[in-house]
Amino acid sequence: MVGIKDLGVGIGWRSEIDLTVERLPGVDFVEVVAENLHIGHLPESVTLLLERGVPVLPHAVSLSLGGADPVDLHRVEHLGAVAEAVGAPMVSDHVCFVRAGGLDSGHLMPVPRTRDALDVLVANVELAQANLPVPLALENVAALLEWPDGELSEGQFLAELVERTDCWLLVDVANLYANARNIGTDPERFLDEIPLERLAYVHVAGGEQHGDIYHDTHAHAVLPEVLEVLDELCSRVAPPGVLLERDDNYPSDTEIASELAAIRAVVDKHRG
Amino acid sequence: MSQSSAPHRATWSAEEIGFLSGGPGRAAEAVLARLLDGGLVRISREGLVTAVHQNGYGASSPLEAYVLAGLRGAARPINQVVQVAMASHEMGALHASLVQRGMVQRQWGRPRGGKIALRVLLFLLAFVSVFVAFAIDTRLFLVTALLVFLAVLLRKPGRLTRNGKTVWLHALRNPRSSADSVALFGLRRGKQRMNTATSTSYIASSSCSSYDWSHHNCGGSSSCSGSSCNSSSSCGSSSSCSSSGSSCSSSSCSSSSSSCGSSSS
Repeated sequence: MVGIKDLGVGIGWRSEIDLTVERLPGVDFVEVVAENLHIGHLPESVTLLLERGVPVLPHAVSLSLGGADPVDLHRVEHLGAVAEAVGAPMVSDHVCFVRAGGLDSGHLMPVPRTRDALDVLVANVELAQANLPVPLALENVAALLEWPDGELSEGQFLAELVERTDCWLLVDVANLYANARNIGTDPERFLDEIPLERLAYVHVAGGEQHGDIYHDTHAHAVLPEVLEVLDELCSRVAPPGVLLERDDNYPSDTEIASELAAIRAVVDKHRG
Repeated sequence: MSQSSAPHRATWSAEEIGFLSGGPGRAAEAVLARLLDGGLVRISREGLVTAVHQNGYGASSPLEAYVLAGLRGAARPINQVVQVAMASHEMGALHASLVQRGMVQRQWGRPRGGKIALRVLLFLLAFVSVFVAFAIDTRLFLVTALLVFLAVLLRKPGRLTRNGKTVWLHALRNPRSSADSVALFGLRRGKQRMNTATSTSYIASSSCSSYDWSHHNCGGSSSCSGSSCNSSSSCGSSSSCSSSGSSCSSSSCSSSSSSCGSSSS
C-alpha cells in the first residue's frame, strides 16, 4: 500500500463537525462513513479537505462480511465507488455481521470464532476484494458477548483471516479495551497474535462504564486506559495512522484538539 | 435592564436587540449567534445545529437554555431551531418583557388579512376615482384624497415604541459583537458584517465563508423579510450512519441511502 505508509493522526469526519474538522490543527487524514456519501455529490467539506491534500478513507459499516447471507454486491460497489471518488488508497469495514435471515441487527455483531465461521468470512472477504478497486482493511469489533464453542482466540482468528485473504487490519484499541473489560480479552495476547505488519491504521474512541458493562460509545472522552492500549501497540509497531472516532455529544474544538494531541503524544513517544 | 429615561444606556442583550430589529425570528437568530459566539453550539456547512457537549452549562438566558435543551442529543436544521424558538414560551416571555419595559407594542405580527384587503380596496378606488374625476368633475379629486387618507390611516402601526426605536438605533450605531450584527441584520447579512465585528469566534463568519445561509428556510419567521432567509431549504434529516457504539452498526444503511440510523465502531 504505497502512499499511505504514514497517514499520521486523523479524525472521523462527520457532517455535524465538518467545520471543526476543517480547522483543527494537526488533522493529517480523515475517515468518512461510506454509506453516508453519495457518489457525485460529495459534501463540500470533504471536497475541501481533498483539495487540501488530506487523505479521505472510506469506512463501511454495512457489508456484513461475517454473515451467512450472500454479500450484497451493491454495497461493495458503492464502497468502491466512494473510494474512487475520494481517491482513497484503501477502504475498510468490520469483522462482523449486521444482517441475518432478512433482518438487520442495527449493531455490529461479533462472529463466532469457529473454523466454519472463518471459512464463511474468508469467502465473503475474497468476494468483496474481487469487487473493490483498492485494498480492504478489516476492523476488530467490540463485543458484548462471545459465541459458544469458539475454536480460536480473537487474535488467532484475525491472523488466519489475514493469512488467507491478504486483507489489512484496522485495529480499534478502544474495542480491544472494551473486550478486555467485558469479555476478558487479553490485549497483549491479542497484539502478540495479530500480524502487525499488516496493520493499516488504528482507531481510538471514548466510552463509559454502565454497571458491569463498558460501552464503547464514541460519545465520551477517550479514557487513559485506551491510550495505554494504544501505547502498548505503538511499543510493538509504528502504526501508519491513528484516527479518533467521535460520533455524538461532540465536545468543544479545544477538547477534540486535546484528544488528538494526546493520541499524537503516544504515537510520537515511540517514534523518538 | 429597567427602563430609564435613556433606555439605550442600559445593556441590551443580542436577543432583545434582535426582537426589536425583526421580531421573534430575528431574536431566535440572535440567540443562535450568541450561542455560537459562546462556543455552545456548532453549525455545520449543511446548516445543522448541534449543541457543544458541556452538560447544559453556558446559557445566559431562558431562551438560550430552551434552544440548547432542544438540541440535546440531536442535530437540527437552522430553520427548525429558529421556528421552534419563535414559538416558545420563552420567546413569549421575552416579548412580554419588552412590552412591559415600553420597548415594543403589545401586538407583534402581521396586520390581519381584512385590514390589508381594505387598504388595497381603498387604493384601488382612489386610483379609479382619478379617472372618474378627469372624466366627470375635477372636484371628485376630493374623494380621491379622502380614499388615500383613509388607506394611510389603516397602515401598519410601528411595532417599536419611541424608546424601542431609540434602543434599536443605538444598537445599530454601536454593534458590540457578531451576535449583535445578526440581531440587527439577520444571519445572512449579519454574517457579512461580522468581519468587522469584535468577536472572532463566530463559526459562520470565520470558517464558513462558502456557506450560504440563504439555503435555509425560515418559513414564517419575521426575520425572513429582507435579509436573513429565503424560502429554499437544503436542511434535511440529520440522521446518518455513524461509527459510534461498541457494537452498533449500520445494518439499515444502504448504499443508496444517506439516511440511516445506525452506527459502528
